Amino acid sequence: MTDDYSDEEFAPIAAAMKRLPYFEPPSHFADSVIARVNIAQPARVAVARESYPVRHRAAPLQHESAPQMARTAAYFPRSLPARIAAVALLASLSVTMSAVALVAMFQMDLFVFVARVFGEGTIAFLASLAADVGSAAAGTVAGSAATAGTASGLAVIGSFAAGAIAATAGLRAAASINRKAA
Amino acid sequence: MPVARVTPPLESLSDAAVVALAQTGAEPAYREILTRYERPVFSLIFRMVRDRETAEDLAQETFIKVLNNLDRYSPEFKFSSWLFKIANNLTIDHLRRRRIDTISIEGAPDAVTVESARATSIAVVSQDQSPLEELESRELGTAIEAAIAGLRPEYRACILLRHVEDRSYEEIAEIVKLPLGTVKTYIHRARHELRAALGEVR
Repeated sequence: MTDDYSDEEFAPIAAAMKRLPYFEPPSHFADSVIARVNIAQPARVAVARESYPVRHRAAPLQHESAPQMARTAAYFPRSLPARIAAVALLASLSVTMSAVALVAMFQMDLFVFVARVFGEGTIAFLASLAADVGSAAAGTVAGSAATAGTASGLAVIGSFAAGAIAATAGLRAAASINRKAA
Repeated sequence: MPVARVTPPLESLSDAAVVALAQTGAEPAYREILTRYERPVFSLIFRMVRDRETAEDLAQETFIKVLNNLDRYSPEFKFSSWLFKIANNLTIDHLRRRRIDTISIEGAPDAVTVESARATSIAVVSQDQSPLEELESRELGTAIEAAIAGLRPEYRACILLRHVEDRSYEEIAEIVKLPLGTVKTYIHRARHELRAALGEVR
């Protein structure tokens, strides 16, 4: 590089050339170029935008999670009564399954347990109720009761009954809310 | 709790890092490349062709070619050299097609009216100088632009890259695709011609 400036006559010209200003391209230049460039795949763009969110800063997180939210929402009923019924059913099932698990884990005799809590009369009532339940439903439940034992079978019956009661209550509550809203 | 990822601003990254980011498809990285090089590339081309519209078209073509072929860029080479190489190739091809060997400081060769000649003439803008210095600088700058415009395109490219862009001889040889010895000869002759042309002005 030094040889350029060893020439004394050229040194002032070289210095003046260094000071020559850049010319400005038109203001739309960058946009025109970007519009004609094939920017890489969208999946890769999403990763890069997460790192360098220079443009479209308004709501990148919402934008990115929208498909996920849509997928999750698809599993939930849209109307309020249906949601209440679904929650009631899930709650009763979860309570029943927890009870069944506890009984199975500690090998408790559910009849003894229920008898201690509610008395012998309740056991007799439940037994007669189970016998009176329709053959289709009872057949299904009886199958599981036969394999899982009487205690488990009764627990399943109880869960369905509780679920049905809760769902009915939920639907009625929702209907009254809708009426009030209307 | 997720740990926040700290990312350095694009302006602080090296060319190679910005290009690597652009290769992943990040639009801000593409824009950063444009921000860094649109003025140098446009200026080089404009000083070569001396027509604003043509310079704009060629500069656009240069960036489109470069940005669409980023996957072919090899980081072992200097990115700016690759960019200037494409700009120079496109410009030289254009000049050869148009057979414009030398150009006039008074306007483009095909300018037929006063307005078009004025629109294509080079105006040298000075920075932070007193009125007298500005006048002298403007005169010298305009004279240098005129002298550069009178050089052969090959000399012009080499002397601009050497003294405006401050590139080494090796880089210039790579950019203009000529042997190192030829580049040195071209620069020597260009300097000689510039000295002769500017003798009276200085």
